Amino acid sequence: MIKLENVSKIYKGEHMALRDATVEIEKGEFVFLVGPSGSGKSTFLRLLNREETAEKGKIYVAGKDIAALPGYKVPYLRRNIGSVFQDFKLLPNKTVAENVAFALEAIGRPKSVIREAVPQILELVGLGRKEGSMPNELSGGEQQRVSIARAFVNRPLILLADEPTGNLDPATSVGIMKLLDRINRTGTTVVMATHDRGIVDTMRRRVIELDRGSVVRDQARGVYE
Amino acid sequence: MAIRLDYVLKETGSNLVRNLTLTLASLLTVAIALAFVAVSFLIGTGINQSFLGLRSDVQMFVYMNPGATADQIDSVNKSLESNPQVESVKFLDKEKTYAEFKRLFADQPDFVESINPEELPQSFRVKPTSTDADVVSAVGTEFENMTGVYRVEYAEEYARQVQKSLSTLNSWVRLFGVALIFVSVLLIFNTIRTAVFARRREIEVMRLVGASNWFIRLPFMTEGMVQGLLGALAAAGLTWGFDALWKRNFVNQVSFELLNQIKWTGGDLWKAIIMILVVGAVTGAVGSGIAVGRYLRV
Repeated sequence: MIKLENVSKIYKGEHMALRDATVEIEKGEFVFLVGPSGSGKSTFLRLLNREETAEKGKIYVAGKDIAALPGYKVPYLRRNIGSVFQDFKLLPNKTVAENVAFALEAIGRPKSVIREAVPQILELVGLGRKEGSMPNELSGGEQQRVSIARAFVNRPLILLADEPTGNLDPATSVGIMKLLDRINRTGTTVVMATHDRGIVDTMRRRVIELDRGSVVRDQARGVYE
Repeated sequence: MAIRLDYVLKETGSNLVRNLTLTLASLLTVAIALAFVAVSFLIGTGINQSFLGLRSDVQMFVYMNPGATADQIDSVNKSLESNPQVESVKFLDKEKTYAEFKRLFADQPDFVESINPEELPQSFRVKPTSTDADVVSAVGTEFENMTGVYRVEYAEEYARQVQKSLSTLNSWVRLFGVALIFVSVLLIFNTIRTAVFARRREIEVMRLVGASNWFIRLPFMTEGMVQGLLGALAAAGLTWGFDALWKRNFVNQVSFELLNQIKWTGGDLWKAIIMILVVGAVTGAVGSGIAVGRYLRV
């Protein structure tokens, strides 16, 4: 599903955010990216949906060399990749349902589809009764559920999560992880960058550790360190 | 993927309303700037027309003595016609001169009554090949001393002065108009950029979920176009008002020697209004497209 071959990413000609990384992730896998701040976890994720482009090496997503995609096709790549962030990135002036519907409107889905899909996904993430709430009326955990609903409502093949529990307390984080696990069980590949030792050690999934841009460990059913 | 029209309209409408104060402020500035553009176009057109009118008017009058003989008139006529500097000659005999005289002093019937047509000098109206005042006066002096010629008159000094001041005024007005078009474009561009900046989070999310660039751009472009058009419509109203005021206060008012020369037609007014509508709509749409572009770089 995802393949990196000797990928290097250099910012401003000097700082090497990723160094000769080679990684292969199968369809349906759940992968933790761990490592200290600045080790290249976010860069790794941003390369996959072409927010960034690599200076060296090849990146394949769903069998396609994404560096070769012309600019106008990049949106179609992103429709297959959901993204979740530490700061949720919800639109503050839209309700929960509108935030989720926005993701479908933005890719031109018809209204009939939106009317059906939005309540369904909100039910799945456990926010069936909050569809009319504004983001600032929700707890952090609930806001993250909205953002996961938005990322998943289009049923992407891949879900990228950049420290999704970074702003949440441990109890809330467990709920979010259960949700991501559930999404992973539908066959969606999940790649999650995290600092949360407890989560990694509990879930015992594949762990890729980065240090100063290099892959220093790639371990099935791994732990934080 | 088709871009849904109702989506574009909804976004355009809600954004214009959401930023109401900003929208109004920019509409007003754009309206004023575009109105100035239209007004300077009209004044420029008016000056050009009066300028052209004046140019074809630069002629010379050769007045004959009232008692000049037919031979003398014939001889002056021949030398005028054979002069290479003369483009056309028109002779006004006693009848024609009297008719012209009656036309000019139609509002003073007593004066007309008191004049005997026999006393009016017959004259030649001469159009020289060049409008250059120096050439005109050179031709004039040649005929001044011919027998039977009473005197030669030409619009020389007046024409020269008016020509000079009008062409200076015209180039200033044009420069002003060009500067104002530039200002209007910048204003629209800047307003849209502010609107785009206010919505950068939305744009970010749209890109993340895979909206195409045109899908993101289109509502901004229609928003910019609507703003530009609304501003231009207000400007059209201002221009129309200016047109009415100018016509009432200056055109055909004898007390404004120079200003009453500057006039334009209803067609010119429409041309100016259509011009600012197009400038408003196009710069609004294109400006927004460019303003949003920097958030779309992949």
